[in-house]
Amino acid sequence: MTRPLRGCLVSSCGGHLTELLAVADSFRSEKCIFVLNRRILLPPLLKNKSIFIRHSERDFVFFCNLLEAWLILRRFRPDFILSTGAGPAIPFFIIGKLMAIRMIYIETLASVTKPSLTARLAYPLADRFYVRNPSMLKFFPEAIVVNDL
Amino acid sequence: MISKPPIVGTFVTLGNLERRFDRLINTVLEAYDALPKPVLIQYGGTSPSAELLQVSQGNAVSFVDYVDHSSFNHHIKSSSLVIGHAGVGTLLTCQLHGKTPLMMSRRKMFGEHIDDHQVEFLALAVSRCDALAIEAMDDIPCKADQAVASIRIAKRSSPIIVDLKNYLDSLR
Repeated sequence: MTRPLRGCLVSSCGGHLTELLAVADSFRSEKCIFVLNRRILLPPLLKNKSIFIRHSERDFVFFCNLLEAWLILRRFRPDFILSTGAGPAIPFFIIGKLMAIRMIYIETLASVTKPSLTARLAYPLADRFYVRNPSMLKFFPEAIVVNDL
Repeated sequence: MISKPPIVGTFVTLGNLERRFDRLINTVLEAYDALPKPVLIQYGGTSPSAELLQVSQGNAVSFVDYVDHSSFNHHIKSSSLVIGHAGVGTLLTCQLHGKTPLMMSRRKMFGEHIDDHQVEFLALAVSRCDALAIEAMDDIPCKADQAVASIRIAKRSSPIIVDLKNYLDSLR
């Protein structure tokens, strides 16, 4: 029997979380925690598995998020970090890189002609990088295109 | 005991952004007569004025600021018509439940979003027949009929899930 992996799933709430939950079948059998940046009424999959961090809007709270990422990752010791953005991904990817954790990023469907800022920052840090639109390949030549809209 | 949310005729969703999007609410209410009733408007950061709330009281319109994930899915699944901002979460959930939403994109020039990515995203969704775009009240009646009548296969599987699962297996 294979050991379940330990996953840290990082997302802001709203559409990014919906995109993360849309791929839930890929990690449902792993042992995962969710890191969210706003307290919401949790769907069943996230109940008793969620940690909330401070909500940063490209401000100094980002540095608080770095500390929170370090505390969470040091405690949970995941095998991988998966994120669909937005902002919360970056502090976790930075600390995750320092801890040699495998990192997976999925760029949002909403990036059609221009990538998100989060994607630009995550690309050099990620071990696996997915984009949903082929137009993103000119920004991220090593990305994997999964075009299923 | 938690009660199940009521079934609505039209579910309007502005997402959970804190930026206002009065254009969509105003357009929807102007086209009220053409909408399946009752109408539920999830307004997020676009809190309705006291005047708007008063006008709506005599009609089958109700407002809610946010709904939880389960209620959001319930409203999308059970309503006859979904109208929303051009958000990815809204479109994905509509796809999950086999719905064709009417969508209006938030625009940077009106302060509705930080950029115009919703404009591009909606154009892509429309080109793939996954959504119908609305810009003004006149767009709603015929597109509402089109959306209500459309029958879609609910989207359940995704190639990314397969690839991601294979990658995770390679990490063991």
